Amino acid sequence: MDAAAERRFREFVSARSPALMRLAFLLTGGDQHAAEDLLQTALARTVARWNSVDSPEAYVRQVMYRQQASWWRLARWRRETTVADPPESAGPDGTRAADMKIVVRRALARLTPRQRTVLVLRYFEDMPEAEIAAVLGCSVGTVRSTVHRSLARLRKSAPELAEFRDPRAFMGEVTA
Amino acid sequence: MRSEELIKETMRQWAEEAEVPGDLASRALKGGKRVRMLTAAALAGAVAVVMAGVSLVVPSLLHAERGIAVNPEPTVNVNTTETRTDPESSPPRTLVAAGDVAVYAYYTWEEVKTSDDMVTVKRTWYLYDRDSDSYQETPWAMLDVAPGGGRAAVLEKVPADRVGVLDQAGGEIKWFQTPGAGAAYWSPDGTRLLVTTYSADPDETGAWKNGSRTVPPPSRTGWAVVDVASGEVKTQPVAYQDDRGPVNPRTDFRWNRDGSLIWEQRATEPHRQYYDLSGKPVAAPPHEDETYQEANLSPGGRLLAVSSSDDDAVTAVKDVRTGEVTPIKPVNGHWVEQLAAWADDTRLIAWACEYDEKDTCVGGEFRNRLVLVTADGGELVPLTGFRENSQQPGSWTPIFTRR
Repeated sequence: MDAAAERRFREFVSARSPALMRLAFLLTGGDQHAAEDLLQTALARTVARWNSVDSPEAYVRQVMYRQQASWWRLARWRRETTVADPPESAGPDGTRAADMKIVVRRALARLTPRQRTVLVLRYFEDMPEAEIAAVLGCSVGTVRSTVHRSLARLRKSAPELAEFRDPRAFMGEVTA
Repeated sequence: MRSEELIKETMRQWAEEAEVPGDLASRALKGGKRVRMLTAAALAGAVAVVMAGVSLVVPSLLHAERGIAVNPEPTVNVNTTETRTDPESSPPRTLVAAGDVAVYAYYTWEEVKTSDDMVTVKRTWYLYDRDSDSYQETPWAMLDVAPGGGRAAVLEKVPADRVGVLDQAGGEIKWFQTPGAGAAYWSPDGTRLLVTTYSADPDETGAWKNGSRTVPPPSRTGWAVVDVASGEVKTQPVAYQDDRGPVNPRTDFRWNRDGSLIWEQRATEPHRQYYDLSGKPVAAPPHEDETYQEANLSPGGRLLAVSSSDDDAVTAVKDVRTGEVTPIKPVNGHWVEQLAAWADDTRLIAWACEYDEKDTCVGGEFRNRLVLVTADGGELVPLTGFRENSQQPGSWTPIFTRR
């Protein structure tokens, strides 16, 4: 990589690393160290292909999606995440919603990397199922069943979600 | 707030807590140089290395550079025979192992309706994670752990067009095309996979109605043997042939003890039919077909786990050289019901119920736990908590693997 290419790469990282770290942070279930590892690995691959990659950001994101969803990633599977305990008593509606978000965080952190990745793609990246399937290299049916199982497990980990339940979503029928 | 919105909002807020390191670009550039050096070295050595293979190495090297432990040998608990128990938990939460055998995986099951008249078995698989010393749920439809515990063969669905091999050390899944794959089992030496192929879901069967169920005609088509190192796949058509039909639509093939033959369970005599790898029926190796007990022959081949006809024992151990049979009588408050696996040449892993003074099982015969029992029946140690009813949905089934 020549000096000009290196400068462009540094500018790209400087401009996009906040957004990319947010994605990595969610993909790893709120694990700061694992998120840094994930993003650094993806960026290193991008450096190696810098001159042939049309859209560096899309490439980095795809490497991270696939890296997280590809395997039984037990080494990082359930590293404990620091999520504050919810208050013991529920307050007015606003407080209750805040408590619920903590509960949902805990439940998301307990998902497998693949389950969490599919939900992050669906709900954080707002991807339709067909696009998720293309990104992960699997069928739409696999995406649909993984979303279904992930949501079911989310609800199992956080029974409190039942009161927020959207039957359409939790029956795995959420479509793009 | 709808649950979908709650999840979205939670993710948005949570993501904002990520801290952005200041030297990401420098770290990546350092790693990037490593990539180029590896590529150049591979080419300079005139070795036919595909680029994908090179790129797979990189993440591990990067992690190693940053001081994150990388396990060079995909093996769990190397050279240990320590007994690991979790007697209060069912299913176990921490590793269960004894002698040369560990439970690196287990599954739970439930029946799911596929139509008004049919049901299928849905299994949820759990794998042991050594970092957290706990079992973690996986998304796979079926899996088997290789000897050593470092790799697993997986199916995405049943039947599937391909079987995957995962490595605990990381990296991408290695896929092998095996159309119709309904089960995959590692050979005893961990070099090959035996994949049973089906033309339909082997777990789908008739729903119970008025005390009976209709078992569909066998859909098994044969097997495929996958050489994991070379990627070679050899298929062999072997249909299910038994006048009485299968007792179960799933009729998986299994390796024999030394991986030289393949066998299947039959509803009629002989109850185990053996084949050579070309699909030719052959005689059973000595003693291997003389028992229904899953543990079969001990590692050294001298002792055979058998059933007992004694009044006070249902299992026994037979010395195949002398013919002497030692019944496993109630010991340490347990009645040993099934001999599941040999831990070593002197001890067995077994299912046992809680024994009471009325010569019955507390809570019934299906309330049982894994135990470690000596071959002479003299000592018994609980390994897990009790399954409340092994016949009911939600119950768990362990997979035994050589450590």
